[in-house]
Amino acid sequence: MADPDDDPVYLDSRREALVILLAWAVCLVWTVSYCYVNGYTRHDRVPGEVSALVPDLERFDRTPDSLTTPFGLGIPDWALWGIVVPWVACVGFSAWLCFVYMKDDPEPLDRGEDEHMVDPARGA
Amino acid sequence: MTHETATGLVFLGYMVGVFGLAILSNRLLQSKSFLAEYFLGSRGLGVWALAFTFAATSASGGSFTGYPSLVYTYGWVVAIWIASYMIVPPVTMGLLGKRLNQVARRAGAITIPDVIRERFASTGLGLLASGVIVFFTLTNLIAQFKAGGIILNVLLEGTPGYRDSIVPWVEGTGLLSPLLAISGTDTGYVIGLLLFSFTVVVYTAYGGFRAVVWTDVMQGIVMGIGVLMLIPFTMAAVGGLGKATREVAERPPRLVVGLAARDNAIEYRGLTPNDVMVEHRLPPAEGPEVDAPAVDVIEDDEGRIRVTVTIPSGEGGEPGATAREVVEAVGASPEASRWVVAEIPSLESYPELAGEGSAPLTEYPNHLRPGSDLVFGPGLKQRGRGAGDPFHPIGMAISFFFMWAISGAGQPGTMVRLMAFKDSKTLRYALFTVTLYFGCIYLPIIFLFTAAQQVIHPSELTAGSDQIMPQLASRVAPWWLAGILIAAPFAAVMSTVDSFLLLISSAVVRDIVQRSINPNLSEKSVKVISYTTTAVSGVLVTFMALNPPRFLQDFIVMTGAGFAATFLAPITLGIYWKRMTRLGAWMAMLGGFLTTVILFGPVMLGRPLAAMGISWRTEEINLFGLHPLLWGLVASFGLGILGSLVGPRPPEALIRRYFARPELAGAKPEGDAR
Repeated sequence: MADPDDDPVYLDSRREALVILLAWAVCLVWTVSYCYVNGYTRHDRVPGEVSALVPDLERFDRTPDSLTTPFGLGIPDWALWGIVVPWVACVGFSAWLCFVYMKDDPEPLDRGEDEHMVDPARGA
Repeated sequence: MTHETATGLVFLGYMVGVFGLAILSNRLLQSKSFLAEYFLGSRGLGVWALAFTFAATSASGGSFTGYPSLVYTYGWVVAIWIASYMIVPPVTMGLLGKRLNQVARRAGAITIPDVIRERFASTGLGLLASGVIVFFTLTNLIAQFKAGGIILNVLLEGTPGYRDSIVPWVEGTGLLSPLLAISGTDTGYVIGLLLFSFTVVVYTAYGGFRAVVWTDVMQGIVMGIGVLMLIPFTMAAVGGLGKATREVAERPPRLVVGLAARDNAIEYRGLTPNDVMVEHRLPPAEGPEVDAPAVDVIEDDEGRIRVTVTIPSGEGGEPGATAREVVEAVGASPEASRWVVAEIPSLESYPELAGEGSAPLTEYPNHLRPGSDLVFGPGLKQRGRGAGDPFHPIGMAISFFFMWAISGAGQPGTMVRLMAFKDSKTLRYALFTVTLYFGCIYLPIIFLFTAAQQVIHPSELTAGSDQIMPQLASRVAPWWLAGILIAAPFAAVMSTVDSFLLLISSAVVRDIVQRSINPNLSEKSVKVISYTTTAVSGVLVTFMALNPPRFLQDFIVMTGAGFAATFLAPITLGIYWKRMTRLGAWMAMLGGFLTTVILFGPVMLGRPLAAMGISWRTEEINLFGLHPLLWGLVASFGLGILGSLVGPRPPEALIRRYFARPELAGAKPEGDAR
């Protein structure tokens, strides 16, 4: 819970950091799971490793005949939807984050903090 | 104009630019507060400077050697390997940037150990942070200097007159004799290393942080433009990405051993959907001698076909048969012919290939990679220890989202840049610029080097697949673009090394000498010590890189993970969580550091132990198939939170100083028990 005395830069940064972490988690879940299901030819389930927790996915194993390259781009289907499109979406997210969501610190605050910046080495 | 001359000209222009920027930076240095300018650019970085210093520092030599090499070798699956770069800029810059910048200003901090020392009011923590930075950075620098020396040597080799006139002249003077005695390598490497060291040490020591940033901007722009311009030339050469991808997918299993330049290249093609492994070896010590190449074929428990070619020993332990004789022996073996065809490749660039060179050996059994492994995951490792194991299983795919994005946020070299920008508007614009930049570099590299499969035959890569970018540029691009791209790995190594040099020197000057030994140093003394420390660090690393420790390369693999596991938790929790205490910070740093070191133990100790006759694994311990970094982060964050909750709350004055509005933050709290 925010304290009324809390610094606005601290509160804004914390909120922005949570949104960024959420975006990172979405990218991880989408890209890894989509590519794993649609882009792997072998779904080895190794005992004692994370792969053992994944259900049997052999029916998804790909063959060269099943390869498509949508829109004539020459990019394999799984890489297009699992990586290239999310990458473009991330550019969009980044634009939204930078130009809409992130707040600027009031400039005088920056300058003010510089002014009363201490030099701990000199014990000021 | 030849590619060699173009490369020489690009290199010369680059050097003039680097030294010019260092001189300009030094002039600026004279008019500002020395330490804050020398190590932090007076917290005045603008959009372009912040964006490109961030991008160029992240893009080490590996971005232009190792990464293209991986794409060329493993194909499209490397897209998952690099995929987290889609979100790297927001995570590495946005997660901590604004807040870390503010806390550093309030603390008067110039370095990351400064931030830790002030936030937790603990001299001990500051010294621990400095020690970890010096230790890891020094190790990493030795390897980077070695890479710089090798790259420069290769660049200079092609320059007209270098090998014929300059090297013999240097050898004749005897000037380098003591260094050659230490290094035990050829004169070319020593000249390359010295030239590299001289350049990077002089401009870094003389110009400081701002020189490093400005050269990063220059390097970043050149590298970006170079990669983007290579795309149309490559696509024209292969007839488009779609055609290249389709042809790669339909290719039968293939393995190439040996080199065209040595006339011993052999190309194996698989005739079966089964996995096939091929090994070329000399007769085992306890086994019978052979007079001619002998071929054995077995099917192992996993259903893999293993073809072993035993080649007779010749003079000096070298193979006593030619590549042609091996090809004939494989062709004559009915068992082997069921599974593979071996032949001498037919190459336009080497029309005289006849297989008359000494037959190549393989250190381990090598895997014949089917084309489908180049367009789908996970692919199997082709060479070396572990050949035939999955290249990028799901555990590693998950881990690499932590490796690039989360680990990137925890690197001191990255964090210090977040302390240097002017204001939050600069951060916003720079963050978006880096997002675009990474998208324009890392995605096209996948397209370029999967297509490169159709242009460059593996046996043409004399110095291994790490040289695929210059090879591709030389083959498809005009001379001026090839010149830029051949020099790009050199610029990339330089932009990483200069930042590391300043990291060491700031840890020593600011955190150890000024903060812990003599706080009353005059500005003039600080100046002299700073220049000297940067230069001495560079010279020291140069000497160590003359003949680096044998197992160094294994060791540096863990430095990135070690940095993140040591620094990310105390910094993140320290700036976002009021309850984070000094005890929590100690536990987080030590927990993360030790977990990483323990899980990387076999990497560090396996080979030295093997040299002493003690057998142990040489790969890191990937618990549950996940990378040690992940466990280091879990330990660091877990212990940091636990340690903070079990102890008393941090002093109110300390919380107020870093978490309250500026007007309430007050003066710097008295650090208790420093």
